[in-house]
Amino acid sequence: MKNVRLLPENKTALAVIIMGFAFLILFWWYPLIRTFILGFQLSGVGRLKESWIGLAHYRALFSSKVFGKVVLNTLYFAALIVPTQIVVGLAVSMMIDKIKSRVFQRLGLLSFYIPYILPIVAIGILWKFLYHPSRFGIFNFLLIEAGIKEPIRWLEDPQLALTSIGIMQIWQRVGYVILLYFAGLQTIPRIFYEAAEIDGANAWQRFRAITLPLLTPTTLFVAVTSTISAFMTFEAVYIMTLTAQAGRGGPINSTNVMLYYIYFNAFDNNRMGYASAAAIILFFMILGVTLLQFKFIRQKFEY
Amino acid sequence: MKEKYKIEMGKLVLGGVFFVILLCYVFPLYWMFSSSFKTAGEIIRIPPTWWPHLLSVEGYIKVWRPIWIRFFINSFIYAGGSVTIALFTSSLIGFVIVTYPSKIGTILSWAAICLIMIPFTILIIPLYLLIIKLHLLNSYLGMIAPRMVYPFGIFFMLLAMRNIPRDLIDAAKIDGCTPLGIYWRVALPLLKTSLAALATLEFVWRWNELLWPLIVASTEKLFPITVGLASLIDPYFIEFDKYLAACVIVVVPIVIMFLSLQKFFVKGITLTGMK
Amino acid sequence: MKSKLLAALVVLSLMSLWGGMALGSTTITAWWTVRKPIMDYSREEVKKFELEHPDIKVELVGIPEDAVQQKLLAGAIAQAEGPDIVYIDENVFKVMVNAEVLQPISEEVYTEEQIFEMYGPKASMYKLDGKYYGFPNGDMAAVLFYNPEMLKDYGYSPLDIPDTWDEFIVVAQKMTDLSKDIQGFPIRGREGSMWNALLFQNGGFLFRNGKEAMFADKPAIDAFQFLQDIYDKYKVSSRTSLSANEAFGQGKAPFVYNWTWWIGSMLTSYPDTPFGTRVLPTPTGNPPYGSYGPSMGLFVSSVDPAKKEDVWEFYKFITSPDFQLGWSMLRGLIPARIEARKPEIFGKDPYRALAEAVEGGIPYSFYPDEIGKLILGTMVDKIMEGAPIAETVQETEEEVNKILQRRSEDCFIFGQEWYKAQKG
Repeated sequence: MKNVRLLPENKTALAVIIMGFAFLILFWWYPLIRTFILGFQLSGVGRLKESWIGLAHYRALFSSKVFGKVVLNTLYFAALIVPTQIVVGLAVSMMIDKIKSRVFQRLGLLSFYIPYILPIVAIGILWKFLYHPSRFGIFNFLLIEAGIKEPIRWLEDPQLALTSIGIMQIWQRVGYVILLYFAGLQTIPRIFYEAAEIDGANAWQRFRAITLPLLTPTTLFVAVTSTISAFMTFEAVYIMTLTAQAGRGGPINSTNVMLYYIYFNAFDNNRMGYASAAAIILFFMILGVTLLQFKFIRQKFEY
Repeated sequence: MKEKYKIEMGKLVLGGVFFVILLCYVFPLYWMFSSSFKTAGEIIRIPPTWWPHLLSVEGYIKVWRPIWIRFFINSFIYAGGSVTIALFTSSLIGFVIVTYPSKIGTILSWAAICLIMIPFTILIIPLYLLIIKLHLLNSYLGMIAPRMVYPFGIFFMLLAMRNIPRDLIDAAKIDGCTPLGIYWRVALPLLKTSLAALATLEFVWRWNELLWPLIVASTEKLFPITVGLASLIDPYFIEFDKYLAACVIVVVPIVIMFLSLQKFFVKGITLTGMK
Repeated sequence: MKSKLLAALVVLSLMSLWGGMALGSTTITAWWTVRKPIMDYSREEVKKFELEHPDIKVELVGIPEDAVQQKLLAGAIAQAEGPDIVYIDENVFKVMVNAEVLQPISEEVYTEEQIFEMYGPKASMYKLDGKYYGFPNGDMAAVLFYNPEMLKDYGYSPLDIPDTWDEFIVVAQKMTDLSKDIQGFPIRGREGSMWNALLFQNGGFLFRNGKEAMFADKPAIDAFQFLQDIYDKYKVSSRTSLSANEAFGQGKAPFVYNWTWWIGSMLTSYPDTPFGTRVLPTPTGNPPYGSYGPSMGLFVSSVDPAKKEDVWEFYKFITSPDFQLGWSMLRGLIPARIEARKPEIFGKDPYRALAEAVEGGIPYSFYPDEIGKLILGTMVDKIMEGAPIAETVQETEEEVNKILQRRSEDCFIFGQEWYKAQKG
């Protein structure tokens, strides 16, 4: 750029920019930096005075068995729902793309999309009902009709609980992915496919050579946003895992994920510093995985 | 002729399969709706009944309290307020940065762009402490304040402004229009649809949000619908007739809203997705 | 013309309303439980108070129990955001005293003698550093709920319910029909609380004193063995059926273990299911029957000196015998306020068993959620999922001791040492 002035000439413009700085600093940059600082402090709401304790929170986190489980749970959760969403989303969006009738296409997209716009609070209650361990739980009823012997304890079995929540999340979010891929597919010129067909490429080859690479930006976007939202899962755990005695995140911490752990420590136990340290670890987890995805998906799928 | 018929058959079968998948997909929603009209006894009957034997509104009567209307109003205030303010301030900031170039503006744009990948929720602890300090706990302003600026909105505006012909803005400047005037009369009309799309999508996200309002609102009077619904769950007493009726009460207005605004939704998604 | 007149009238009446509000009236904010029966009762009662005190308005605000601690702490810093009166769970009492959220009862409100007259020796149980921070509401206990109609269908009367677990299980087995989804004695969802009762029944204790847990021992292990047997050996409860409370409420179980606060919920949520209560069976048929909990409840947290008098006036109202009587019936309490302990009510079903259970019970301790979740949640879940009992109990005790070291001053523990001292 040429010589740009330091400040805009226009007073109103300057005022707007100052307002922008004020808001961004107060509500974004300051909290971000404060989170880092809190991670090194003993802090809580109430009479507690803040004091520096160095790396004690991090040491406590890394030696805590529960926290180790929480990190693994979070990673597992993302590993379960992100790839599934991408595969299912892409497959279904290609099916919808094949529908000739515009009306049916719309209808298909709409039906898949509706769960996404509903609050997880309501969806969670509904799925808790579907997942009821009794034989009136509709999933168990259908599976028993199909031949399994014992009802499944979807949310009560510690081996299964997180996966059950994952299935619900996939159901709820996949419509969003479908819509994104569908929009992506519309941007691919038909002529590419026609040309490939003339060259004798079969359906798989066409998919591999045209569809997938041209959808790379969409895939990247879906992967990154789905991972972030998987890492930030909170509502589903909050709603679906509440029991009278163990609180939430159970059974046996099997559904305790990062954001719930942070919430619990900060707002139920009043350990703001400790929770902030966990939030910082979550922050770096997000950052790391996002960067990896950028690198990996770019390499793998781009020409 | 026969050949063509065969293909049509194949397509029909494929279409049928697709239709079945679709039915399975929307089945949970049907189940919520139909079960909410069953009696408490019928809900736990084995085998389950596919539709309610007698249409019972017991669950609705048990769960309904006038405060639900208040919950809806609160959701409107929270979602509507934060989206309107956030998109207005963010787009104005983005607009000014592009239209009145300056070094400080460039710095601001980077300060915003750095933040677009950071989820708001990760900052809730210091934000909560800040809200306490500002004496905004348990108030609408406390819920809305941290949402008053939206980094992605600034970023979005920076990109969108590129598509507006520079001449239009320069002409308006020469005519002596103020920045707000140009924003209001030139930029906004041109970007109206995409901003509306973004707003609709954001609105739904805010409407469905639980965590932040849960922390800030302490009294029922300020609960948005999500917090109201969540506070219904009693671990000692699971009454699905009541809960499912509440879910239907919560869900139906959103579906109606969605169906009437769906064009904006689809556009909003593709906009955020294609960045 | 008419419309103008009307408008003027409306404006005038609004102004007078406003004026009335601005003039000398105080509004007391009370953070209340969200439980509907108690809220409904309190709203009705508070109207009476407002009639007697036209210059005081009371606003009852429902706060979910799990949120109240944080909101109180936050409100206390923000000064004016806090309530004037709070209803809190016992387990956060000490946290709140330590955070200086609660106001002690001053001599001007009640003298020591008056307090003793009203509550007897029970009041001093909650005295901290020579100060009373509030009055106990009463005692609740864990009892056995039974469904008399289901018993009748099988030819039993409530009097036939055996006193020992061995005999009780036989009855429960007879009444179990899992193919019809009927569980003789469902415990799903109540395992933790019931384990605690069994621990006391077997002669164990959770804590030795305020600094040390002591449950890693035979009584605890036996209690777990019995819980597992209920599922796997006796098969009177199913892991894949309705949870205990659901099943009993819906008339799908003749018996359930529960605390007496559940009486209020049964009365309002399942008015069609008949029920009675009696003390829990025990291994020998003799006490201890399990634990009873001294319920704390209501406190003054007002910081506004201008309101002080009115707030204490209201506090006197909610701790009055009349108010406490109705409250206790819904909360399933034997009232601590002596005058409210009406024999014609608390000597009869469903409260009679409660009195017996309190008499023959061991008091429950109060500790932060962190510890409760570890003992009654995680440990119990682990063992019910098949983790080795002795090791898991041992491990948990060590973890609890670690937390106790950090937070012993947030706990209010009636341990074995306290109990022995009481019994002389």
